[in-house]
Amino acid sequence: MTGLFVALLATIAASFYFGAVHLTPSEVVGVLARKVGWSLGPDPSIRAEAVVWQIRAPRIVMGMVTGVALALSGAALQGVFRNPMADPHLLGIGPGAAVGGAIGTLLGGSSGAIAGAVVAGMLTALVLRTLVETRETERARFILMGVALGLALSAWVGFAVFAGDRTKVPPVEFWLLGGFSSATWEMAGRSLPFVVIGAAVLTGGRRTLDILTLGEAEARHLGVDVAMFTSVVMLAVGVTVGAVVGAVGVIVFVGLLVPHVVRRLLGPRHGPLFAGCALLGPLFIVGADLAARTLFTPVEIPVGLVTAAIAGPFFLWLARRDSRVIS
Amino acid sequence: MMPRVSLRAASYRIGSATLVDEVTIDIGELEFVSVVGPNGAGKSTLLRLVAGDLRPSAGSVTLDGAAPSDMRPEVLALVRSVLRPDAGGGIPFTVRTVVSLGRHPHRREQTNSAARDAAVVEEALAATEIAHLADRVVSTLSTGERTRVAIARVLAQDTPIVLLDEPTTALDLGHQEATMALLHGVARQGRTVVAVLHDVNAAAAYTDRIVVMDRGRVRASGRPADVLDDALLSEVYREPIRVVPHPFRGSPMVLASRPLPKDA
Repeated sequence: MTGLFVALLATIAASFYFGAVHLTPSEVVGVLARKVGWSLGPDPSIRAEAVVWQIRAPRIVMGMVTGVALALSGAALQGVFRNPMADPHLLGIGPGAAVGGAIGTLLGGSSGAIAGAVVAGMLTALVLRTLVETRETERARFILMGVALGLALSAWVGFAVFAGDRTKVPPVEFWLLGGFSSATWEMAGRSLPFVVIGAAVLTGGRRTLDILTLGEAEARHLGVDVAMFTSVVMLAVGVTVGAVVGAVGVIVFVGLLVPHVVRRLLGPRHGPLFAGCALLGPLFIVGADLAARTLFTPVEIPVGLVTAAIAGPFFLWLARRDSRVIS
Repeated sequence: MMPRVSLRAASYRIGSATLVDEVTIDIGELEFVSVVGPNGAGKSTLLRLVAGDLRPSAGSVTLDGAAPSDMRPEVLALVRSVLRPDAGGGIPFTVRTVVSLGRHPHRREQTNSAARDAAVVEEALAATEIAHLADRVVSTLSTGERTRVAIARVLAQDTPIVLLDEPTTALDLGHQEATMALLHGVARQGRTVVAVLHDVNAAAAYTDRIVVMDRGRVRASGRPADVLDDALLSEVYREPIRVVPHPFRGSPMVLASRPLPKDA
């Protein structure tokens, strides 16, 4: 836990330092120190102030919000469905939210994007919930249905983008691969409240998720209203994921991979699992974004390419090495 | 006095199949009742009706006067606990964690406390003889050990009605006897214990009443000595069976009496 925290701080520091514009460490520290009312070193230039506080800082904060949202959502879905392949994007909730985000942009710009994505994320979660209702015991089939739903909705993102005003709506690759280049303080401020609410609901369910690990019938016998709890978790995931997809698009593999790694580090109980996810999720996203904007400077690549490139093989290795991941 | 568990012409049908057919039984407190019968007799379905997992297609099932399938889950969990067969396969938690989760229904009770939770959990671990496994991960245990963990979790739930589907099937002879004696003691503490059992001898030795089921119906219900006889069991199990007194326990003992193959 402490290790994760230190690693997260290091990644954040690196993200402030590295970038297309070269700054000295003292410039970065100088800007940040003044923001907390502490005059340290010589006055930084206006350029340094703009890069650190208006470009890099909101980008890092938005990355952290996204990391928390996706990792917690993945952990909660894996718990509630007792299926290691459950992931908000794989199940179609992310692509569904992206459709809403694209439509929302047409109607109301960047604030419309987040509102539209939250609504669409909840709707997709509800659709998925009704599909699950009738197939309560068929978990594998449920994952396949989610994947099919996700593929169809990804295509709809394209329709929404091409049917709309392409000068206003971000391109398809933004929605389906994600990116933080447009991150602002304003965007983070709009996204954060939804993520806070969603994360509060999900982490509040940690004990119930532990009980569900014993099995659906056992949970019912221990007083859990499994149908109701499943609906609540899915709606919370819809809100949480929608709030970040509307801001930064779909970033794959985070919700799938991070909980598995944390389970190996901190064990299977959902209390420590959520705490670990809230550290490793941001670490992974902020790190991936740092790579996305520095690997091919000055060109920035979509952050989803980086997460998929890292997480895909890692997940394969994990799944092969640890049979418990898949069994 | 009102019976704790009451079934009135309770039936459960699925499609054209009748799994439980007009069963009427009353079970009171302090009673340890076993349900026996051949595979497919409807024993587990009967238990699931009592547990509130299933709603009767006709007739009624009540626990202390209320229908379990209509009760809120968190209320029902304070009334009855349930052991399912083949419980606990892939659980990644430690034994103590799993047994502690049995305390979940009591978390909002005024009279409950963390100290009481811990005491009940330790007691359940000791009673099922798994205290030495407390820090082991459940998925690394044997089938019989996992069954005992599940029984401990059921005991930790501390409910007036305890329902168990095949609690002893996976257990060795020693743990089978210990578990039957334990459940007998649990009933004597003022609870109602209902267990689906395959071992008719264990049922005859330890339970106050045996319910013999066949094809969804109750064929007989009463004290083991009154219920178990050659004709009934031979008919129900479709196998020649004789009932003799246990040489020193006095309880009835059931013996398969099919002639052995010549070279056996």
